[in-house]
Amino acid sequence: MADEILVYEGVSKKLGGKEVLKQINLSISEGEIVGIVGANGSGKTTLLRLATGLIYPDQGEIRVAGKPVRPGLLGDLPVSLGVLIESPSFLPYLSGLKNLLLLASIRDQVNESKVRESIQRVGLDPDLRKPVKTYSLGMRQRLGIAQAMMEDPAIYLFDEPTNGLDHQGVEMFSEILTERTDQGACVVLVSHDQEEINRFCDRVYRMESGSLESVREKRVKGWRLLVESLEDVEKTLLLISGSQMSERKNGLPTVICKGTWKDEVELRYYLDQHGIQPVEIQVNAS
Amino acid sequence: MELSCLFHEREVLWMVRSLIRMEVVRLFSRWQPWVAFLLLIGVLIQGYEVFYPEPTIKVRDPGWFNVFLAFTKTHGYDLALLSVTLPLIAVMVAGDSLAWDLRTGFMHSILMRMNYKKYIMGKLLSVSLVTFVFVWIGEWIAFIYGMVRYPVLFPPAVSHGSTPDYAQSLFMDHPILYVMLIIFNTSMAAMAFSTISLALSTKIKNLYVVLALPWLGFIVIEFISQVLGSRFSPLNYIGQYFLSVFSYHTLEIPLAWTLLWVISWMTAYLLFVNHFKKGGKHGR
Repeated sequence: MADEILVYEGVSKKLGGKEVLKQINLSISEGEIVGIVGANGSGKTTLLRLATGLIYPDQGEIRVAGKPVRPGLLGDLPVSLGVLIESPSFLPYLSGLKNLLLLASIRDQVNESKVRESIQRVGLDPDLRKPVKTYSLGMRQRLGIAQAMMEDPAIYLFDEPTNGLDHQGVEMFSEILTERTDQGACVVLVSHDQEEINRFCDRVYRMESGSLESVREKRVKGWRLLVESLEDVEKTLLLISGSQMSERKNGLPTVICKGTWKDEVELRYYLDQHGIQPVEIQVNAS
Repeated sequence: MELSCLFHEREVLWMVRSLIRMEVVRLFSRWQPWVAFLLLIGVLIQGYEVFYPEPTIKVRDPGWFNVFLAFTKTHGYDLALLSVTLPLIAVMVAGDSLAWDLRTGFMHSILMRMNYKKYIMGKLLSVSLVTFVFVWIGEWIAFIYGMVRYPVLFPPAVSHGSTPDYAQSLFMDHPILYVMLIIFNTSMAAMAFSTISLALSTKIKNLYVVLALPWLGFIVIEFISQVLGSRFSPLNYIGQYFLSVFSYHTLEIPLAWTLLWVISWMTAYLLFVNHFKKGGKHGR
């Protein structure tokens, strides 16, 4: 496929004499969110690390935007990566803004206002002067997400990204994912939390004993919801991130949204649970 | 082709610049460099006080009582502490920078934006430069202090036993240049020690060990050279070369430190690069 941006082809990797990954084949396209679940130590994080070039496969090939990840390529990948692997890594004695400004100065692609905007986007105060070492786990995680997204990378690699985030934080993360994939970025999301993966991802894989097994393939579809009242519109906009109000149809207020519900019945059930009863649901709305 | 090379060079320069900026920000954000600065100024003042002559000496030999000789002596006269403490002071400035990057995982965030070879080259260059400038400024501040404490008089005549043997004619003819030479030598020594710390950081993650090992190595090598009666004594090369029985050539001291700096630079670079070539899992 022409828009495949991250490809693993027959990738195997041994760490400490143990075969962590066995013949992994996976390709991810632009705008796609792929989730990988698995127990601790199953090789999920190693799979992400391989894409960054921090470590190299023993067998097989990884291609980022068509360019093989080879020894020496680290840091010279053809597209930029937004990475949050394991716990966010910052200099503990500097503030969040200073940490991000230092990182942004390396490529000089974004200015200070963009960095500030990214920090605000994740719900942190860019003017907070206290050092990162005094941040809570959730704050560090938010800063890690801001670090990953501030340069608008083409590929996002997230390892347990909602670790330590509260409900609002998870919602914020969900909105960011929608926003970025709408812009064409692809996301690989690794978590031990099946529910989280199911919620966010188009395709889901399970990593077990170093092998990748497809759990679910699902595609994001466009939906048009015709509701009875403006109150329902408001409820829907609040419930479904990225949803937008559209022109009335058949005289009824309309909301368009994207989601991975299997069919109309599944979406109707979901809306019903949240007190919304649409008059009509149309699939593949533009 | 030429244009792309030029672009590449500019890109590398920009990245090195950003790493230097990073080191400067770190310099002002951590307590260790401030302690190092206080230590540096403290031991230089202590050196001045150790040398401060008795009033009778002032009357007997006015050539003793001037800032140029006093500044020289602060680097290794009698019980002056600078030559013993410099290895520790130097590494506290920025020698643990790579160890911090590895320990915190911050290096991974940097390596998502920069090639690992450029990173280690930039790190070596920026840490060396920051350490050099730090010691250079500290020494000049101490020299200015000396101008207040001692009369600013040019050395009148060679006085055996007190006038330095090292680059003696430069001391007599151009004492300011001599002071610059001494400062340069000390700054080069500091730079070499901080680079040794960087080389150690590629293998050792413990911050305290990274800071202490160059100093411990210095003590062990000094002990061995004392036992063997060797001219290659670190203590002499740092500060006691002025009046040493070994009569060091003017260029010998800066060249020795430059050589050590280059060797530790190459060691750090090769160890770091080799690790990534193997595709290892660096840091955490």
